[in-house]
Amino acid sequence: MDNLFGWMGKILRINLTNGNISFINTRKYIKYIGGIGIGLRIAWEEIPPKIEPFDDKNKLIFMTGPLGGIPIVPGAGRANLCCVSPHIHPIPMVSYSNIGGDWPVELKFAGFDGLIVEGKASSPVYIIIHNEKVEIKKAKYLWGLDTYQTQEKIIEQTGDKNIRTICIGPAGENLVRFASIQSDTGSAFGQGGFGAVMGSKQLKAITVRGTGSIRIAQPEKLIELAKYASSIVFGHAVPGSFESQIGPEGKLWGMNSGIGLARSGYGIHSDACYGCSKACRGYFKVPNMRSGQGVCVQWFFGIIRDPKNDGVGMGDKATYYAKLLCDTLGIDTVEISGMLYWLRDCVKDGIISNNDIDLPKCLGGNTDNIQFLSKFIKEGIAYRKGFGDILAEGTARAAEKLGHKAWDIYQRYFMSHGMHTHWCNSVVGCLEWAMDNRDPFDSGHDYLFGMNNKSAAKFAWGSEAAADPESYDHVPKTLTIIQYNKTYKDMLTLCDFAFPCISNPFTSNGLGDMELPYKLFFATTGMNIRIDGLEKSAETVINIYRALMVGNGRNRDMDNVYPVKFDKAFFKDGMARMFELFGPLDKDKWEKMKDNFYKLRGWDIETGWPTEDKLKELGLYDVIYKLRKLKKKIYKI
Amino acid sequence: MRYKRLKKDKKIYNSFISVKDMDRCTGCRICELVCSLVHDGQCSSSLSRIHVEKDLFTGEYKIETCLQCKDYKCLSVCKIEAISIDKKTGIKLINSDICTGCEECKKACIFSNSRSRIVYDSKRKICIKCDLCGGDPECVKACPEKILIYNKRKS
Repeated sequence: MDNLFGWMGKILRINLTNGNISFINTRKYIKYIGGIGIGLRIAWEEIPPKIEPFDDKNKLIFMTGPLGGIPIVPGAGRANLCCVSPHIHPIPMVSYSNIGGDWPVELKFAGFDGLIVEGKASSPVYIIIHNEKVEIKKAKYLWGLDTYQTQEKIIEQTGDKNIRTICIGPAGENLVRFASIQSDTGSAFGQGGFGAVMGSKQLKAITVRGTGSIRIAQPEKLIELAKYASSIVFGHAVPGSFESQIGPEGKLWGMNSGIGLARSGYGIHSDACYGCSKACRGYFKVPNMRSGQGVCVQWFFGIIRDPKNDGVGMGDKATYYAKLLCDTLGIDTVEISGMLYWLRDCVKDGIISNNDIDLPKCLGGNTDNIQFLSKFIKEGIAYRKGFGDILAEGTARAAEKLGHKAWDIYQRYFMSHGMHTHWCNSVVGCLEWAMDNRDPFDSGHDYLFGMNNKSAAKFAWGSEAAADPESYDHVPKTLTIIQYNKTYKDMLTLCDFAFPCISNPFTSNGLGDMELPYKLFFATTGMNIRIDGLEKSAETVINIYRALMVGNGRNRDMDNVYPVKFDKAFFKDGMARMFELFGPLDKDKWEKMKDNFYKLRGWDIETGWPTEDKLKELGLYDVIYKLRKLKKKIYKI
Repeated sequence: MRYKRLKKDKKIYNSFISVKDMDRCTGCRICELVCSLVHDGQCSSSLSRIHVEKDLFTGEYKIETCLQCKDYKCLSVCKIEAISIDKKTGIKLINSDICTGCEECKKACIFSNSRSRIVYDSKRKICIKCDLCGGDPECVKACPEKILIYNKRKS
């Protein structure tokens, strides 16, 4: 605890059933580094397989990384949450979500690398952590408040503006399957529905205040490296990111391209997560609405806008209002945006009637945007009124309930595992989706850094051929590497918008620095594990994640995207849109590619399960024994 | 008294850090983190000699720096002369070897009603304040928005 660099040395455990508070020494898990590494390892050890998300035995495992709190480097101060997810479909599994903002670093300042919440409170509570002092307090006066009100109330109670809180809104309290956990005015554990898990535990908020410090192994080296990192990372392919590196306007990504509200004069400044030099959000003041942050997810509300307003992004107050409702009520914005497309088509085809939901004029209905959003998101979903009660189950389950036509329409806009399509404009992207149990691009974008860029592809994935988004042959190797990068990115932590640092049009060779994560890790922690050490750790975590899935009933068939993605007819009328598939996937090539991917991973081709040889190689003996038992019990083998 | 003698010295500079375009502060707090990193080898907002006060719900962020006051309230209350003025730069410096952490300087700071620009380091049990990094302030260099200004001027 005293002589670690980067890590704080303690993981907090809070039991809501009996009120017990205890600590784990982080050293027990240090080889998993942090973030989803430690999170998934603890989930493997402690969350029983095949439990429902709202079961008492489900645990919320929050984990930061050793890089949290270092200055300048994008996303160093993020946190991950591993937990059985109510959002994913069709069966419950341990999944993950992550968050930026200020809360993760504040948790480290309080002295903790992470926090495990288990059990269930008998009445609404919130947790308050002030350095070593941890309390579970009654939250009756907070229950029912929205997320902004909740945070303000706790600030008022403590008299301290510097506390940082994560909390749920009415959506989480009402067990909406895609309820988020929010912090400040826009940071969130957005996908995965973990807000509902907090709601099921009657846990309203977790507030932290820390006055401690994070020890750094090589402080001078770190500052030098951090400044270098800031100059060499380049935002992913979404237009306008990190404009400060290009144009004189400064960082307007969040304000300009993302929402377009800056053009309406509503943006007041760029906004950053703790320690980040890229400030990708915008902060907005819209008349007659609460102020707050906004970022690219607001693009998704593009179909809710007054056509008179501008084209790229949205210049409409309604899109800000949609974001505001989601952030204050605690709802995943991405699910809502996919749902809107589905609703539009279902109403058009008469599967859902105008009595169930009156869409706005821009989607073929009769109301105006603001009225619609209020009724749909607030009343309907967050408070589960009327037809909203079905929608609160998520688009996948709602579509299942409404029949096969609704399910066909659902597949147009959702990719797999119950989640809205996002960056599937390559075969690699599709396989990455297939192998996960949620949208793998928690905010970003991996393959995009080298797509269509031969020199970047060769640099990062070993061949120029890997630049081709429509090719199948290179995918097993490319995805294996991408998964290492993505996994250790979520262990250290680092930001999806900037890492992996593969390409940068402004460097002399157009390339980035793939060793940057390791260099930062070394300067921060003093641990010389090198890039292959990071990759080995990542591979171990990937296999633990896989083992968790196996324990929950995963098999090769579930390593898939929805059938319609293979259907030529689906593409003929231009249904494929930006972020989405270029054309139908080829079933034969897809299955062969999967065979090769499993082989490369050391997994069984028939089932997609890790082989015992692979697990032995990674030293995961406990996983071997437990999987043997689970296979006997679940699969009778 | 030392205080009176220094006031007559016209060669003393009175440099300090100010903020231009406070509205553009993104709330990243990099200034705080590099400050503690450079001085104490650790990342800590609480050990930082510069502070960002954030109102999350209005988006108003205020950066608070030591203004290296001309009338040295902090220095003048120190009974053991732990605070001195650098002859070349005019920076008021706390000598951590001498300081006993009585916090009188912290209370004497003209901003002590809202937030003193002197910070108490509870681990080392001393007071710390901005020393302008000897004349090349790190926070100014690190600010991504370039809104921190190092004002070098004569008194």
